[in-house]
Parts: sequence; structure tokens; C-alpha cells
Amino acid sequence: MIKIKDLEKIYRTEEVETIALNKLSMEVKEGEFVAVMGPSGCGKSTLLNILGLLDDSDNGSFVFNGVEVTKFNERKRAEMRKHNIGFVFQSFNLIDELTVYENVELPLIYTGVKTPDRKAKVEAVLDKMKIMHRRNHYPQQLSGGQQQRVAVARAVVNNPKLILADEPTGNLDSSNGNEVMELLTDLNEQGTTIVMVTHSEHDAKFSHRIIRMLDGQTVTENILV
Amino acid sequence: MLKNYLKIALRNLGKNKTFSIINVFGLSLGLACCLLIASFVFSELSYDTYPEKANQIYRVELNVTGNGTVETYTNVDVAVGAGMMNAYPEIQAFTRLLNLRESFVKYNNKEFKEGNMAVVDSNFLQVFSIPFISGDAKTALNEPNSIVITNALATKYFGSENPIGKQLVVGASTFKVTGLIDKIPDNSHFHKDAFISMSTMHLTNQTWSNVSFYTYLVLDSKADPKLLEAKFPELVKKHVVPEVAKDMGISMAEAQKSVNTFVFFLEPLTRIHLYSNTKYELEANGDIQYVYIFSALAIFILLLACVNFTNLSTAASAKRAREVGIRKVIGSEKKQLMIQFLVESVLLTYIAIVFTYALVYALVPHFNQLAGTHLSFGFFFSVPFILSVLALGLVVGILAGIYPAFFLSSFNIISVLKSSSSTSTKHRSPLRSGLVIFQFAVSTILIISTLVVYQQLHYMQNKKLGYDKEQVLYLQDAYILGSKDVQNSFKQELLKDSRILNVSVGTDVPGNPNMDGTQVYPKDKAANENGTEIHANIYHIDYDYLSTLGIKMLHGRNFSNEFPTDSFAVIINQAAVNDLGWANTDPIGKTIVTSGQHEFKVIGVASDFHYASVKQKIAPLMMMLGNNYRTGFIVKIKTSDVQRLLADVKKKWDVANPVAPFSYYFLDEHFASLYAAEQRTGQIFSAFAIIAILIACLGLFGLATYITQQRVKEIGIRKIFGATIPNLVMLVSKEFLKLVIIAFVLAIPLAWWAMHKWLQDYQYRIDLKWWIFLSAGILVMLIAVLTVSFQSVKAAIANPVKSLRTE
Ligand SMILES: Nc1ncnc2c1ncn2[C@@H]1O[C@H](COP(=O)(O)OP(=O)(O)OP(=O)(O)O)[C@@H](O)[C@H]1O
Ligand SMILES: [Mg+2]
Repeated sequence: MIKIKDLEKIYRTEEVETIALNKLSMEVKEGEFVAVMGPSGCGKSTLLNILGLLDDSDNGSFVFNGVEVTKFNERKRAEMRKHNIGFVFQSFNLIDELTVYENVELPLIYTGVKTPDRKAKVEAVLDKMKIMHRRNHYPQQLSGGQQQRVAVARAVVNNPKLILADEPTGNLDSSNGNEVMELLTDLNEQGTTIVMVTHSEHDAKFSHRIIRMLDGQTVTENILV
Repeated sequence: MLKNYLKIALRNLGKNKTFSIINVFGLSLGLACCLLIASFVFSELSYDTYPEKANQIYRVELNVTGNGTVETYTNVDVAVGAGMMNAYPEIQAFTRLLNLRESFVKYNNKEFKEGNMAVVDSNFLQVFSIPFISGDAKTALNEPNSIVITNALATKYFGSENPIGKQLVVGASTFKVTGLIDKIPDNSHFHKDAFISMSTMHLTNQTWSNVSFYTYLVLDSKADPKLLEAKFPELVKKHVVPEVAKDMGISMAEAQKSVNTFVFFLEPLTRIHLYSNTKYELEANGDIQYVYIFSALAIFILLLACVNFTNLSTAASAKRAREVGIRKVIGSEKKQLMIQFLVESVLLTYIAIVFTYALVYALVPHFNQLAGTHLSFGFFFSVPFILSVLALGLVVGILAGIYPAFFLSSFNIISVLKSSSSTSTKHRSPLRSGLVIFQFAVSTILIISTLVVYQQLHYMQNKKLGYDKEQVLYLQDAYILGSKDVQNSFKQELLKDSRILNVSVGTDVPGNPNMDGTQVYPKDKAANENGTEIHANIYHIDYDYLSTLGIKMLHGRNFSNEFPTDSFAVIINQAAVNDLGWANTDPIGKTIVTSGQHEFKVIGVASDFHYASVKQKIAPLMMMLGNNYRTGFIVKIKTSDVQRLLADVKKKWDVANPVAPFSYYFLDEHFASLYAAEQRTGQIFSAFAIIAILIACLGLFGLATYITQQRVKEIGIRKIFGATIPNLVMLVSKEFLKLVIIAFVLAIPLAWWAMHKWLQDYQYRIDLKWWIFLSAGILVMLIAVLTVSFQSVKAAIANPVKSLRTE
């Protein structure tokens, strides 16, 4: 599903040049659950942003679902993103002005799903995430774990092929964190590919494979299953 | 999708209350101004469109060039209408209106003075499509001594009785009411209360070279008025030349030469109100210039309100940045985000429109008073108007929201989402600064304009007029007291009172626009000599006139009853001396010839005095002995108890004639009313100036709020390290003041240019003094400082520990 070769990303500011990704190569197969680990500043988030087509790279190739996407423009990337990729962030990133229901509904609106279908899908996924009773609440009224469940719901409501999660449990206590990890595992078992950045060895154990990074490069890969 | 946009827009507006209130209030004010002015403009443009054939009706007017200046008459002689119609088949009909002078109208024991009556051809009301309530529109004005009246007049005289067939006494003649109309429409260039049949006048003299008859032609729908105008010189040759030759006793060739400057032309009916502005209008007309000026002002005020939206939205963008980022991650395209933000600004505009209507409802009566219009609130609910308003709302919403939409939707996802707290946007933005400068420049220009208009008004009202207007009482209608003897004995009675210094009787009074006038030339130069014929106004005065009004004689003597020949003598003003070409010779003893070959000998020269408005240059004036119908008593008084004196004068008047109505005015008050137009312009400008500065300050207040919020941490740290409160207030206010100063610098040349142009219309005008500009600048600065300091002081006195902890 994902094939990356010699990918480079360089941040230039007035004083310094930071090489965030240094000729990085990796591959993720359909149905895999991959954890990315490494010290702070090694380029994990940068990698995830590029995988999610939120950012572009400076050099190298990125083939997504058999299509070379490095030359895609903003509009094409948005198109690709909304049909194929779901995101989960450490800081949840829910829209404060929208209710739980509306937050989850949003991706369906952007992909042009009709209202009755939307209702069914949103309710199904809220049910699955056990957050249905909170559907009319606003994000500020929820606990961190509940907010992250909503964020996961939003990421999966469109049935994306790939879910990218950047430290999804970083802001949660261990029991809430475990709940989220179990959700991700379930999704993976139903066929969704997952790439997750994490600092926690505990969380990484939920994945099939760990990619370890250092200074913008992959160093080792542990196959867990 | 739209539903989702609307939902989030509404919630955002509810959440950012300051922002929403400032924007809704500013936009409502701007839109209310805009709507009021739009309706004013519509009503101005609708003038005289009510007759069925409005586009085929033209008024015959006349240009006469004399002494290098063109005098435009909007009325022509009695025979012109019929003469043109007979000569040219493309003229379907003609109709004429002759102003009737003020007359007393009587029915049984009711008697009032009516100043708004006209004599018209029998087809007049049909040409103007005025519907009759009763009476036969076709025949009502056929017979002599017929009169058609308005509802208002009928009620005044007949109460609820049927007016048709009743007898009204106008002056000395009796008229039969043959028709009743509601009224002449508001948007007409004339408004008469009564129309008397032309046949009453028994007009036998078919002359072409005088004026007085407002003559309207109805052309064929296909006729070209320009082609028709081009044929008029042949009529001048055929009719005017022989008449002039006969009147002035000169040969046909000479006459032809002297009437070469006699040009008939056609003024389209629908242009009269906005484009015709001569001394000889039926009523004071509008002015297309003001339509332009007001439209421009309305647009500017609306732009000011849009600027507030743009500025506040971009300043508050930090709050929206995260939302933009999340939406983009989820798959929104830039275009969709832009639409979302535009929906928000359009929605805000529509909310503002609701308040606008409330504002308009409250403001319509004031606006009518201010602009002299007759708008009703219902006008704003007509379907086309509402549709235009909705369209306007869309335009304004997009205009206000387009930049913020573009700005907000361009946020980079990663940088926005990276930190969980919102990214702080720079508090300086060149566009925002530019817009603030624009707002304050417009406000400053309006304030300067207001000051200049009021200064000019003050100047005109206090200018030395060349005569005494203080403590001068004018008793109208001396003639109704009775014979000359009655008038004279009344005058003697008045003079017995020691508080009455002087009385002049049977005279024209300064400030009254109605006066006689004629073409004259000096006898020592030939009549046809180029440029020797001038137009002179005529005042009919008596022996005591000049002394009563304190008018100075420069040469010669006043009229005196020791000289019986004085009835053919004339006193002229200095302007007449100059225009007649006598500046370098002694005018005393010279002879002036008026049209009709009457000769008058100059016995004195009076210094120029402003007998008309100060707006106009003092024109040549001939003062001669004698009565005319506009007689009255000019009474120079000296008392501190005017009311008591008035009561005593009325007592004497009632003794002289117990039934004659007593009416009076004071010359200085009457004089002040000549400047109603300037008064109005001043008021309108000050209203606009206040609204503009209010909107600009609202925006500034909002900006200051956001920017101090963004700098709250910086302010806290500075304070911890020793900054004083004034330091901090200055720190925050400085940036805004800089913008206001730039705005001021930009405003000066623009305001100077505009006001310089405006003043050109005034013969006697103020100089534009530097201190007007400076005081406007200081005023704006003070207002801006006050607005900003409200926020900056609040931030500066806050406990820094608190602001740092909440970060
Ligand atoms: N916008 C940017 N401009 C300049 N440098 C950047 C930018 N974003 C990231 N970097 C740099 O790129 C490198 C990789 O950053 P990245 O955010 O990918 O690290 P990370 O592995 O996610 O770290 P953490 O575990 O702390 O989240 C870092 O050195 C960082 O300083
Ligand atoms: Mg990271």
C-alpha cells in the first residue's frame, strides 16, 4: 500500500537547515499495523504528515496504492486524502464549535455522502465507539478518552484504507489509552491498515511491526507477529 | 453542506460576541445609511416620470446672451407654444403655465392668502396625466373663470361639502370650481394648489420676445428634439426680429443682429428637477451633484463597515486557525473553506439587514427632515426594493468576507496543528493597516468638510450686507389696508411711536426672490452695439427706503418730492454702473433705456448691497419711485421688547382696517432662511461624519481588543521587568496612532481639493484656513486615543501573574 524510497525532507529557516528525513525508505503492506518509534525530533511526525499527504517531500518517491503522489497538487492530495486516509492526533483536534455527532459527520459531508446515509453511518460508528449517548455534547464536555474515541470515530467513519495515528494515547491515562489501542486493533482486524507513531513500548506491542527511527532514518525493524 | 456551513457560522457568531456585535452594528449603520440614500436617489431620479408621455414632454427654454453672460429663462412668451406647434407637425400638443401672484382667496367668511396658484391651458392637467376626483378632465378648464383645486384646498374652504360648482373669489374676480384633483405628485417639479383657466386672461397680444409662460411641448414619440431645436432660429427670424425692431425703433437688420443671441431650446421634462437650476424655476429643484455626492458618501460608509469585518476577521484568525487545519486534514478543499467563510460573512450581513430595517424605521422621519424628502417606511418594503437589498447584502457580505476567506483558508495545515494551542498570527498586517488608514482618512475628510460647510454658512449669515437687517420689521401686503391715503395715515401713526425710527412703504424688500427685471442699455451707446445691453433688476422704492434700510449713497442724491421729474429718475447700484460701462465716467445725469423704449435719468448711485442671497454676485439694480403689487411696510425699530411693540403695531393696523389680515416677518430671520440649503448640507455632512467616525472607532476598538489579547503575555513580562502603566499604554496605542496620523496626512489634500471645489459655487466665500484641518486632525486623534486606550489601559493595569499563568 505504501512504498517510500529515498525520501528527503529538509526544513530551511533563516539560520539553520534541518534534515528531518534523510533518504528514508520503507514499505507498509495492506492490512498491516505498524508502529513508528524513536527519540524526540527524529522525524516521526514529519514522516506521518507526508504519508498523510498533508505535507510534500523534497526528494525521493512515494507510491500510495500504486500511484506516485509526490507530484500531486494541493487539490488532488485533498481528494486522495478524504477518500483513503483517516487521522488520529495526540491532541484530538476536534472542532470545538461542533457537537460529537457533527464532528464525526464532517468527513462524510466533504466526500458528498447523502444525508440519510450519513445518519446511518455516523450512528453506527458512534455505537461502535460506545459514545452514542454523548452524541449531542460538545468536545469540551468530554473526558480525554472520550474525545479520542470521537477522534477515532471521525477517522474511520469514511471507511479509510489507512489510518495514521500520531501518539494517539499521549494525552491519556493508561486505561483510556488501552481502550483506544483496542479500538485500533479491532479496526486493523477488520482490514484497515494502521501506521501509528508512539513513545510507548506498551502501545507498540499492539502492532505487528515496529519501525525505529533515528535522525531521519529507519534503523531497525522488529517484527512482532 | 450549506446547512453545515450555516450551523457553524451561527455558532461562531454566537461565540465571538464582541466581534459579532461590532460587525452587525457597523454593517447595520452602514447599510441603513446606504438604504436611506438609495431611496433618496431613487426618489430624485423619479421626478416628473409620472405623466404618461413623460419622455415626450419638453419645456421650451430660452438663452439670451448679453454682456458676455448667458441668461437662461425657463419660461417664454405667450405666443411661442402655439407658434411652434403650428410650424412643426412633430409637435402633438403644447400647454402653458403662468404663475399667479400671491392673492387673497375668499369663500363666504373664510379668507386666506394663497401663494401657490397658476393659470394654465385647458389641456395642462391632461398633458401631465393628473387624475380628476370629480369634474370633467377634458372640459374643466375650457371656460373663463374656471378653477380646478386640490383636495387640501377644497377642505380648507369648503370643509366636507362638495366643492364642484362652488364660487371662489380670487383677488377681485369670481371663479367657479369645475374640477377636483387629489394633489400634484410629490415627485413633480411644480406643486400648485389651484389651476385657473387660461381663457380667463383674454390674451390678445401674441408676442414672442418676453417671458413668463412656462411652455411644455408634447413631441411625437419618434421626433428628434435636437432636429426640432435646430429649426427654432427660423421662428426667431420670423417672429422675434420684427417685434424687437418695432419695440426698440430700429431697422430689421439691426434687430436681427441684436437677437442673434436669442436661442430657444428644449429641456426634457425628466431632466428639469436634477439638471435645471436657473433663477426662474417653478420651485427650488434638486441637483444631480448632490445625488452623486450622497451616493459616493453612502458607498464609502458601507465600505467602512466592510473594512471592520475584514480587519476583525483577520485579526481574530488565530481562533479559527485550528478549525481550518482540522477541516483540511479531514479532506476539505481550499475552495470549500472559502465558501464556508463567505457564508459566514453573508449570514452576518443578512443579520445586519434585519437591524438595518429597524434603524431605517427609526431614522426615516429624521432623514426626511434632513434631506427634505417625503420617504415613507413602506417604500422600503416594496418587492423590487427588498430584492435589491438582498442582492446588496450578498455583495456586501462577499466584499467584506472575501479577503478573510482567502486569508483563513490558506493556512498551512501542519504549522496550524503542530501546537495544540492556536498559532499566533502577527499583530501587524499591511493590509489591515491600510484599511484602518482608509477608514480614518474618510472620517477625517468628512469632519473637515463639515467644518468648512458650517464656516461658510456662518460667513454668509454674518457677512456685511450693505444694509441694516437687524431690528427691521416687514409688514406684508400694505395694499390690503386700503387706498394710498389709508396707507399713508397708517405710516404717520406708526411714526408717532418713539420706538419706530423710520417707515418705508410700497417697496421691494431685500431677500425676496421675486422682483421685476428688464433688459436695458445706456442711451449714450447704440442699442445694437455689442455687449451694451444688460439685464437689470428693478426695485420699486419710496423716498424713505434708503434711509430706513441704511443703504449708503455713493454719488448723486436720493429721490425727493421737490423734483416732480423724479418719477422718470433712477438710482442704480455700483454693479449697474460697472456693467453699463460707466465705471470711468460720471454716471449722474446719464440716461438708461429699458425695453419698451422707456427712458430713465440716473440721479444717484447707491453702494452695492446684497438684495439677493450672498451666494450670488450682486447684480445690476435699478431703483425707481413707484408702487408695485408686492407692497409692504419696512419698519425700522429700536426696542428691547419686540413683542410689545408688535402688539402695539397690530393695534394700529386693526384701527386702520379691522378686516385686513396682519402678517409680518423680521428681515434678519427671513435672511437666515435663504441659507436653508447650506444648513441642510451641513447637517447631512455632520451626520455622515459622525456615522463614519463611529464605524471607524468600532473597528478600531475591536482591533485593539484582539491585539491586546494577543500581546497579553508580552505585556505581563514587560510589566514584571519594570514597565510603567503609561509605558504600556503607549506601547499598544502607538501603532494605532501612527495609522491615524498617516490617514490625516492623506486626508488633507483630498479634503482641500473637494472643499475648494465646493466653495467655487459661492461668489463670496471663506478662505480654507490651516486651523480647520488641524482641528479636524486633533479631534480624530483624540477620538482614536480614547477608543484604543480603553483596551490598552485595561491590559496595562491587569495583574501580570494572572495573564502569564493563563497562557
Ligand atoms: N516547520 C519546521 N521548521 C523547521 N524545522 C522543523 C519544522 N518542523 C519540524 N522541524 C524539525 O524537523 C525535525 C523532525 O521533527 P518532527 O516533528 O518530525 O519530530 P518527531 O520525531 O515527531 O518528534 P516528537 O517525538 O518530539 O514529536 C526536528 O528537528 C524539528 O526541529
Ligand atoms: Mg511528533
